[in-house]
Amino acid sequence: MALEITLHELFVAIIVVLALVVCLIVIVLLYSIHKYRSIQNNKAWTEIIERKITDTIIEGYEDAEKDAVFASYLRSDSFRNLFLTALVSSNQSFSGHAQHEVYELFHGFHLEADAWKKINRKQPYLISGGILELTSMRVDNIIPMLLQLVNHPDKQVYQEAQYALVNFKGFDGLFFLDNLETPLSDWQQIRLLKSMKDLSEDYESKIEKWLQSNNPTVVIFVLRLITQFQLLSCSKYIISLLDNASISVRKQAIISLQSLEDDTTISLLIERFQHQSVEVQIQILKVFKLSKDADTITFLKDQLFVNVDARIKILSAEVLFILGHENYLKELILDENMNPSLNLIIKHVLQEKVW
Amino acid sequence: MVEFADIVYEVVIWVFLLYSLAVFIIYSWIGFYAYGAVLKYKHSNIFTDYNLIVTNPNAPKFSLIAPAYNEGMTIVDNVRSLLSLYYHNLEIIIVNDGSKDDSIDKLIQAYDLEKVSFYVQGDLETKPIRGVYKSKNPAFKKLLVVDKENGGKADALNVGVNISSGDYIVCIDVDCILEQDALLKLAKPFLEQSEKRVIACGGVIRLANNCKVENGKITDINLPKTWLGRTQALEYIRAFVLGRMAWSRASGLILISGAFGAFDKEIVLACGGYDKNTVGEDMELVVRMRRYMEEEKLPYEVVNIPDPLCWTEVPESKEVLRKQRNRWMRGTMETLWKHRKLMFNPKCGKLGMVSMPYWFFFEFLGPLVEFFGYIVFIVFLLLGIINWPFFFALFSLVIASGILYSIYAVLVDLVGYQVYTKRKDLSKLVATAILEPFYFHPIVVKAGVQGTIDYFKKQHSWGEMTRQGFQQGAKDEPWNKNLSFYLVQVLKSFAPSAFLFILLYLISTGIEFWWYGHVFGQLSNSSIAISLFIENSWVAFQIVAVLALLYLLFTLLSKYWADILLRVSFVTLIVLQFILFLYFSESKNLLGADMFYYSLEETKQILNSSGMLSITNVGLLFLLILIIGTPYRFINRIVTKNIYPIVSVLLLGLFSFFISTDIFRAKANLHDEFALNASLSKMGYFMNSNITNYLENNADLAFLFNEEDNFDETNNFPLLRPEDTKDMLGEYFNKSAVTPNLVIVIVEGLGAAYSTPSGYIGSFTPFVDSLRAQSLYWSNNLSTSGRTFSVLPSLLGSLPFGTHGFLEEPTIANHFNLFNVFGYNGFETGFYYGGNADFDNMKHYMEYSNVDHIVEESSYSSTFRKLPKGSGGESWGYEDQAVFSKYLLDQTVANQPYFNVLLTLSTHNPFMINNVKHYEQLFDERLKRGDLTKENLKWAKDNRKQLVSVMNFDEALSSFFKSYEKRSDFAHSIFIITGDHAMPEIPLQTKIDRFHVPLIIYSPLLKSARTFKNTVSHLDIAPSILSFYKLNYGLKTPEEVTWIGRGLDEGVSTKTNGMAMMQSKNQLIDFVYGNFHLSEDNLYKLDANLNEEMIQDESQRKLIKQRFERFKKINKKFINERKVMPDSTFQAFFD
Repeated sequence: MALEITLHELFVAIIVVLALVVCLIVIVLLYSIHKYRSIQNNKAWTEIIERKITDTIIEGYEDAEKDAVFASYLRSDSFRNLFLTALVSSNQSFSGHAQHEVYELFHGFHLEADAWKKINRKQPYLISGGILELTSMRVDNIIPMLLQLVNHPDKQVYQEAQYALVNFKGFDGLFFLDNLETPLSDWQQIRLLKSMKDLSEDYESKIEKWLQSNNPTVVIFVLRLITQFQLLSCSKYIISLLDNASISVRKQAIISLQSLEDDTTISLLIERFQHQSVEVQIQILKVFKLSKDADTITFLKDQLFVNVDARIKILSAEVLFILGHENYLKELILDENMNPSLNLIIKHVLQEKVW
Repeated sequence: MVEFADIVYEVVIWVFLLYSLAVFIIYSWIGFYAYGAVLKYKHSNIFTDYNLIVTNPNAPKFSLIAPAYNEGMTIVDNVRSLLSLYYHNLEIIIVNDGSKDDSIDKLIQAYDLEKVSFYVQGDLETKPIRGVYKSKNPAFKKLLVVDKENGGKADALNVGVNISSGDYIVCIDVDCILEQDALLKLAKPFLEQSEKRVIACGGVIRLANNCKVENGKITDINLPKTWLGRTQALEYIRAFVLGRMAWSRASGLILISGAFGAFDKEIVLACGGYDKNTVGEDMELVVRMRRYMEEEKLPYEVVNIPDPLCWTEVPESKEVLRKQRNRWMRGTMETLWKHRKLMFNPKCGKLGMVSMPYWFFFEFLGPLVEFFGYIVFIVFLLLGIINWPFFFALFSLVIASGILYSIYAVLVDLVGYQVYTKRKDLSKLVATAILEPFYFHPIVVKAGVQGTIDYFKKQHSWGEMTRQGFQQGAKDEPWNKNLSFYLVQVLKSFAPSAFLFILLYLISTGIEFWWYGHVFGQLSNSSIAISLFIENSWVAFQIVAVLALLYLLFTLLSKYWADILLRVSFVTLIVLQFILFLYFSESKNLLGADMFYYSLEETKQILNSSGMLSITNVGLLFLLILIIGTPYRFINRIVTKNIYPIVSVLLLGLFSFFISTDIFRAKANLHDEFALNASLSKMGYFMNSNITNYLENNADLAFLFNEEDNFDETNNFPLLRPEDTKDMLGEYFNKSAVTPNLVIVIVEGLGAAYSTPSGYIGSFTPFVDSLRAQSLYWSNNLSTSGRTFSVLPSLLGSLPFGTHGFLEEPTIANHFNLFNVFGYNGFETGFYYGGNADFDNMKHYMEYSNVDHIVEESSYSSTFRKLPKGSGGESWGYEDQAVFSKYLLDQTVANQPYFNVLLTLSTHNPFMINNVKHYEQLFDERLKRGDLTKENLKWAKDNRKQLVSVMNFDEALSSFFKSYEKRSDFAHSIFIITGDHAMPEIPLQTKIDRFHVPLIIYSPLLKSARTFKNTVSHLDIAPSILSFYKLNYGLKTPEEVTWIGRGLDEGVSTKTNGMAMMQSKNQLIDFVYGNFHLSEDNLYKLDANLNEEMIQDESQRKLIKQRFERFKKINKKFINERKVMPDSTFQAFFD
């Protein structure tokens, strides 16, 4: 054998590992006890902090400053961290005066420094936590740093930076979309859209540019932006997206068109229907369901019979039902020559009771 | 054999150690990796506002599918709980899977349901749907209830998938309690997906046992009351918080729990939905989804989030727990088998190279390895070979590691989501971690093993198919079609066992080759490997062909018993293969039918003394049977689809009966006798030997193989002739005043190879060398057998062999031998042996010969030393020193001459001697003398133990002579020293080496020393001795004799009839005539030093063979007549 190991050596190795494992058990137990105490401590502190926040909102910040007991707690970094977290959570829930008092607590107890410490750490979760805290507390000084952090290699950090930029700068904060190559997840889009309050004056040119992006998620996000802000002037840019390579883009374009609906929208969608994939066709029909436009009736009746996809038939029947053609559908059921499958579909739409 | 046992022991221990090390490493990795994953998730979700999803119009739609079967007691509350889930874009589909109770009625009543028309858009195949129900109450508009025929959980889930309209499906058990925000948290990973598509997402499942539940919500969390429940709580923490999180982070997760998991519906449909034919449908679906994405080369993720989202009740009775774990194991096996092509498939990325192998080796094999460990422990305990300190250390480490892992899991859970907040609950969890290995773990292991057995049991038996098929055939088909159908079924059933046999047989061949290389350095070359492989393959195919025929015949009687017998046969043959090659490695001899010609007592003595029958070896034999038998326990459940492979094997088997492997052997270019034997198939040799032996013992069949000749069948005593042996010894001796004593020392296993300087090993008998220099010495003397059984009749009586040795014949035929002739002439006779003289019927022979003193093992007092006991606990007998001392004590100086035969023992396997260190030192000094060639040294080192025992004998002989010289009768004594055969345990260079033994005649009466180069044998000694005594001392000797030998002057020269030799008790395959040696139909030419090489001289071979056949006929005559001479001739001499 290349490796000659005696029984004795093996025995010694096992004893050594056993000793190590026993030590680890003791360490883990002690750490668990410490952690449990820490968690219990945190619970107690959380109660104190929440009481403090509530009292401050009710009574104002000046009294809070005089609380020596509370000040003594603040000497602990863990307490300060917990306090900061509670303030950020509260800020999400409050507005107006209550929010202002929260800001007062933040600045008054110099928690900004704690948040800045996190930004300067290496761990991504700390950096993003710091960004969130400073953003939540409206600390403008972070903006120059955000311009760098938006290019951070870690996803959590640059997403938080993106969100922060939009929070501070609104529409102008979306400049990162110019060159964004990484996908913009739905979750991130939801956050960005939520934090968008208004648009800049030159929004149209930027939107036009972003709608031509090679990144489909950027296009989808901008379409959602258009939908959210009802930017009618941008509808002309959307039409060309009906031929986009990405089905998701086309689907979102249809949703956006529907939200900006004008006289030509329905006819445009009917015209483009046949050239689309089934998924996009379904989306068009969903739009018809929302628009409740009578101009779609003939088209829908046609699709009911002609289209082979059951989903299209169901949606067509549903739209016809919504458009008041219930009797038409009922007559179709009574037709003995009716295709049994279509019969079942219509009954399904009509939610016919089965006796 | 002992060394082999040690190796097997070590291999078993190392396998377990390495497996445990792998488990230790993997779980350490899981521990660290999961900790990071939990913290990362926690940190990234501290400020997550899940309300964003609630208010988002683009939030994906979830279809929550809950199959229900006989849940009438709780279903209304369960559904109410689901309806209160906090997610707006949701539909809840309850699938009533053909419940026998009032589940559907209760739902209809509670939720004001009415049956509606429903177009099922999905196309997954399911059992028929009886009805779809929706509520008239708008408050329950999310609810959809489907009533269907019973089809199992997977079928019900597929119905749900068909019905669903959401983008994602969430599959749950209807009795699970979900957290209010469970779907919000579950939705986030799907919303966060970017580069990789999230196809499945699971959450942590916690135990609802003993928790307070109000209105479908958990209001107070407690640990279960029972220890069984608490252990499962700990188990779930380990599995979900550590295991799933680590694998999720590593992109290797292949299981989302069936109790709660979300899936991308589009991918589920693309994969074909749940598999109804497996009990592990949850794992199987995830594997299939991942496989689909790998095959489509689409980037994807399967994630697990550490949020506790779902609460479920676990079994708190052992019976239910066992059933659950049994089912989980079967589900795992079904999935692993179904997707076996993924295993180690690099095209499947981490799924094939990491996840599947992990599940196979650790999740599936884990309980089986552990269970096997229990068995090995018990076996080792019974064998008494457990190293207790090592065991306890290892046991403690295993237990401690398990405790550490569990406690660590509790810590991570504490750091993550701290489900158990009460201090007493945490303390109980720690206590549970300590107790778990001792009572919970064995339950789970046992259930896992039972699950494995049940998995194989579930396969249908072929018998039913056949009967059905036959019956069907009998009705409609002609007889030839029925027959071919039957044959096809037989082959399909036979094939798995046959292929398994071939596989195991070839593996054993590989082990055999490795073992030879390990034990014998010179056998590690590839020529032997190739030859061995080909030989064994040939034999394997032949065995398969023969057993196929027997199986076919047996199935006509009983398929069940045919299967049993087939499997037992295959297992027996493979075990026998191991026994045969180990026997060869121990004895250096091929085992043939001669094993059947030792009595039970003799066999037992041989096995005990050699250490073969030790408890360790017996235990190892059982272990081997277990290892080989286990796959055979289940193999018959597999029925192959295609018969072409087995047909090919059977044709090969048939073909192999007609084509010899000699051409391959010739090409292997193996000259060394030992190497040649090593390259033979031991099984093939054993079988051929037995078949040949059987045929030879059956005269009815023997005629088929015998050649015609001119032997005079009417002569009943072909050996009988007038005595005309010349006195060739007389001229070398001085005349003694008194009739000289004669002492013959027959040395067990003294071969010329190591007792003469010209031997291929060199001389390790310095005293014998010195004696030779003063003696008459025949350098080319041959024994008549490769074993001890024929030395006495050959040397003392120059007798034929009979069937299996002269002494094996039912009765001893009347004949003249040195004992009865010397005894008749007034000599005192004696036989001295250190072992049991019943062995090989020696004692019987002595009694027949009227030997005066028979000294055997039972004759010695305690002052004499026995040879050390072997590993079997038995000693072979008394050492050579004891035999010589006993002789010198017993044989006093007397007035009458004496004739004694001493047979030694020390140089017999297992070569255990006393004072071994002294002789080892002598051996080492011998090696350093510098007169041995490199080749000699190599042989010597390889056979150290044997040669040390030879040196022991040599020193004993030296002491013997030193003592004898002091006696007054020494001066008129003649000593003959010879070996009974060469040691079979020392590899032979050529075939003749087996029989090449020294022959020394020493006496103070000798005029001078002389060496004779003519080839003689033991058969020539009695004739020459009696002739010497007759002509020089007037001994009365018979006038008609039956000596085969012609005296030491003629030997085996062409003037004689030649001599035959038996390799073993049933192998009469060697014949020497002049300078030729015929062995197994191969002809060898002998040179002046008795070296030989094979020659191709057909005419010469034919001539030698004719003489050999003639001898065989003579031998056969003796066997038939049971006499070598007429009784009257015999009686006439003694009267």
